[in-house]
Amino acid sequence: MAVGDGAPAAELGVTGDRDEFRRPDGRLLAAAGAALLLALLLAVLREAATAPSEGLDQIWIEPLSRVDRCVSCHRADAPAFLEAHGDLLDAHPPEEFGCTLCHGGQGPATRQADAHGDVPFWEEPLLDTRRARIHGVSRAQLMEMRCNACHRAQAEVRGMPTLNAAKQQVERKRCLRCHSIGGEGAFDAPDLTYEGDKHPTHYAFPDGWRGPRTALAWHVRHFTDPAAVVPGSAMPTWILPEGQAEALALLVLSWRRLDLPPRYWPR
Amino acid sequence: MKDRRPEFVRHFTPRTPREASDAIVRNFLLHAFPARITRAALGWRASGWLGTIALHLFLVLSLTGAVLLFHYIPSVERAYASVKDLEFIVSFGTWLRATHRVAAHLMVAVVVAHLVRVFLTGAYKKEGAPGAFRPLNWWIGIALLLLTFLLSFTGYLLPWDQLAYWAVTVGAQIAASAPLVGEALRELLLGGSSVGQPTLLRFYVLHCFLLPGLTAALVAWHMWRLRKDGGLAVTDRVADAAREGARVAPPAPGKTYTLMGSTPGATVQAHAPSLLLERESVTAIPAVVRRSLAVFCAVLAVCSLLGLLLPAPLEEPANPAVTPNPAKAPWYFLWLQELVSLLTFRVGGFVVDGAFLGGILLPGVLVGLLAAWPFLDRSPREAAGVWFHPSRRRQNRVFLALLLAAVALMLVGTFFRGPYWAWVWPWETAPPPPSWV
Repeated sequence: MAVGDGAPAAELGVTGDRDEFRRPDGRLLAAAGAALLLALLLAVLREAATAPSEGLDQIWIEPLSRVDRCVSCHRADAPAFLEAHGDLLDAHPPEEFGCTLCHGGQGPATRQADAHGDVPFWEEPLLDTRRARIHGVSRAQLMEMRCNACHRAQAEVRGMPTLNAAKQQVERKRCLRCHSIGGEGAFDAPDLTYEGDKHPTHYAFPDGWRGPRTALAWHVRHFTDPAAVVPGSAMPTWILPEGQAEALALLVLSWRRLDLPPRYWPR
Repeated sequence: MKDRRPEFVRHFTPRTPREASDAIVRNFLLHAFPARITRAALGWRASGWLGTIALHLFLVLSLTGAVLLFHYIPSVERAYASVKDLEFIVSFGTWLRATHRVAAHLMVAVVVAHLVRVFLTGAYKKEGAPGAFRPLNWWIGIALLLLTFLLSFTGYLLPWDQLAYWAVTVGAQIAASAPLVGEALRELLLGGSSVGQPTLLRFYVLHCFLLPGLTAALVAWHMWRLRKDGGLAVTDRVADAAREGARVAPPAPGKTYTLMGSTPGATVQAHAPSLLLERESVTAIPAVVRRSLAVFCAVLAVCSLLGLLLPAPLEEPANPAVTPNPAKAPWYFLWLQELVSLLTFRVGGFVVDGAFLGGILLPGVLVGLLAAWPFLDRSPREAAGVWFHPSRRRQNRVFLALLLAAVALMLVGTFFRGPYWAWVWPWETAPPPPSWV
């Protein structure tokens, strides 16, 4: 190293040891510079590897401040996807509704696991067949939960057989004798107006809980046997027809606070 | 011989010490460096270059932060979405954010390590060269440490996720436990009674403009004071040794010119260590400049690589209705949170306020002790600039014991605390949190 020991004393203002001014720390600087270049190169490579392969495409819905980038990957599937909707898109044009408002999933994401919402900290995963099967319902039934977030005030909606039946159960079982829903009913039992907004961490799962730890599974169990999940519950144990516990659970979970501009409300 | 390398950039190889010194004075950026530096101060052993590393981390943070500023929106409705966009569609957004976060964590650690180094080498001691007063720089350093904590803490809120919201809620709650001014302090911090849009705007302005500006100004002052104090404390010891070795005769009677005419006595230059230390030192160009550049490259490389390995977390959007359990402070405050929880207990009908004891009183006392320490430390002047000087054995041991205790509490807080701050073993995995569907 040039700045090592043994350099003779330099007299002030007179040329001293020429060695002192050669470039010291040459190897150190070269190594640090190489490490930096390598690090930056790796960053570039990862950026190239994780960018959507066919470029970015998105549906930006200004009035809702929502963005759906599903089409970035599903460009080739898009025609088939749209076809499968039938006449549903007449009332729900994709450019005004996007995808995730109904289907769930993480709209802004551009990688599959993130986009489908199968990641920690994303609360509205894609409502796909796999997720429906976990709860013993069909994907269409699971989707009705999202439909009813807007269509909750309508007793009968085309394409929502499960929740139409659940709404009849609410009438038949006279839930409003104890509960209050949307300002109607009594206050002898919890207000259910926004039951779907209750955060999953606020549900008490009894010890030895089997099955998925989800709000949906909790409600299914609760409709089948209230006292099993809420000890000492005053709610009657209903004898429900096959599938009605699931239907009612989907119904109460659909009751969520929605902040949509008026023209999005069902007519 | 003429340097035949192409002049891609202006480069310069001084031929004489005079040219090397002139180069430092002439160049605005280089004039922050001293003209000469002792070999001891240049070496890795005296300081570990921790101050330089901290400064370079601050530079990395300023550079990455400046780019992030173009994308981040400080509004409660849009902040979270703008961070999501950084993660998903901004070119190099994920890397920028992760590198910025890693550099922030490293800066806290390195600034603390720098303080530990200065303490263990007694480099804050007031007995220095004539005209030097190192305690002032020690105090500037303490202010810079607190600024580093504040910078990191204000940055915590900006993603507006659950982690951010609740960490700041807890922090504000601790501030509110201060006697008399507590409530006012919390309102000043939050711009209201709870974390909301005014809080986000305040933290944004503090994090992006006020605190970095203040830090840059204090860093400049810190480095200027270091020069005025004669360089690193180890230089004083080198000067002692040089005087000893040279057996310098008392300066010859000469003339010193003052405004009032000439006065008898030695010239200023005759006392200046630069003459005595000529043999022990090298010019800053190229020695300090090149080593500093190497350190910058290494710091940026490490931050960038760690940024690739450790993605910055982004939890659910801030939700005032859902409190994560447990809500943990960032790691460097976890020892205080642990103390807050340990010191909150009930004696009869009286509840001891751990938030005040552990969150306000104890850190206040510690900072006060640090600030007063140059005047409580009675070790001889030879102890300055020497690692673990025998005369400072006891204070070094107490200091290290306190440091280790804080680190132990941080580890407990990180790995052994579960819901309701109850003790859990790291291998006891909690079931995944329930979801809607």
